[in-house]
Amino acid sequence: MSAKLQFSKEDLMLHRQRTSAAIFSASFSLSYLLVDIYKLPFLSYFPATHQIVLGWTPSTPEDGPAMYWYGWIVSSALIALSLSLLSRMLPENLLRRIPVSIAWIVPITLIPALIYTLKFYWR
Amino acid sequence: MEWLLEIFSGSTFWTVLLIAHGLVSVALLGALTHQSMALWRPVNPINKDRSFFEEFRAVKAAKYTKAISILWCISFLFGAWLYTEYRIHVRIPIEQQEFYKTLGAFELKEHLVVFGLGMLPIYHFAWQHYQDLNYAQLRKYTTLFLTLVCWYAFLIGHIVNNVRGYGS
Repeated sequence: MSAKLQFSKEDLMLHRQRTSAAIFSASFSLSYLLVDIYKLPFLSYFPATHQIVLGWTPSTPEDGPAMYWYGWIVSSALIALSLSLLSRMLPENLLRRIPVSIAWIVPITLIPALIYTLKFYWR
Repeated sequence: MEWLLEIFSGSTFWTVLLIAHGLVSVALLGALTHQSMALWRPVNPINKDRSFFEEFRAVKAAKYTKAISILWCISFLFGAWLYTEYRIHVRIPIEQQEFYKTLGAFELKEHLVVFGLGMLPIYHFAWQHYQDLNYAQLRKYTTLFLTLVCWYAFLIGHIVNNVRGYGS
């Protein structure tokens, strides 16, 4: 009976591919929101002076406004890529328990929080 | 970057890039809408006497996947490039005009297209196995998400351009 529950080699490969892509999508959106809220961009970009500074740096009158969007993308891509690669090492029984629907449920669930982070504009 | 600005004047370059971004987005919008409609409301293949709307949905949806993934990435890269210019020459004047909701809607678009970018690997996987019914729900919802985000991004981008276009 337990042998029947085991994945074949191809099935296991497919499940690993599927799970790592689903985890990438879910963790990318979640970490993107968190790095935005906790000010953890990988870099800050100053478009007026074309300066790139590692981490979060405030806007200054000399360098103009800072952009964090690129930094959020890099931070969340690194986190998602790490988690996605780690998920490839998960044992088979754990692999079965991760629903692939997290790939779209997590980003959709986070949209109200994203809207809330932009509350400054809704006035 | 410098060599590009030597060929074009500054505002011409950004206008050309914005038009290219818009054209790629139109192609993406069309591809995603065809794919979504074919997936959510498939037509009866036996019926040959189809209306315009049925013909619109009667496409081989899986064939669009690679093009959609590539177009999303190109549109994203063009948009990310334009965003630097937007921050200085578009956003600041709109802030001065106090059109905060327009800016908020645009910032939300920037966030949502990033979510879409992160969803591309699983979307691509779901369509690679389009004959597998286990992934039918995954295909439906990832495609719908990308389609709605693309429509939202397109419309908001258009509105912001109307409020303060490049070279205005």
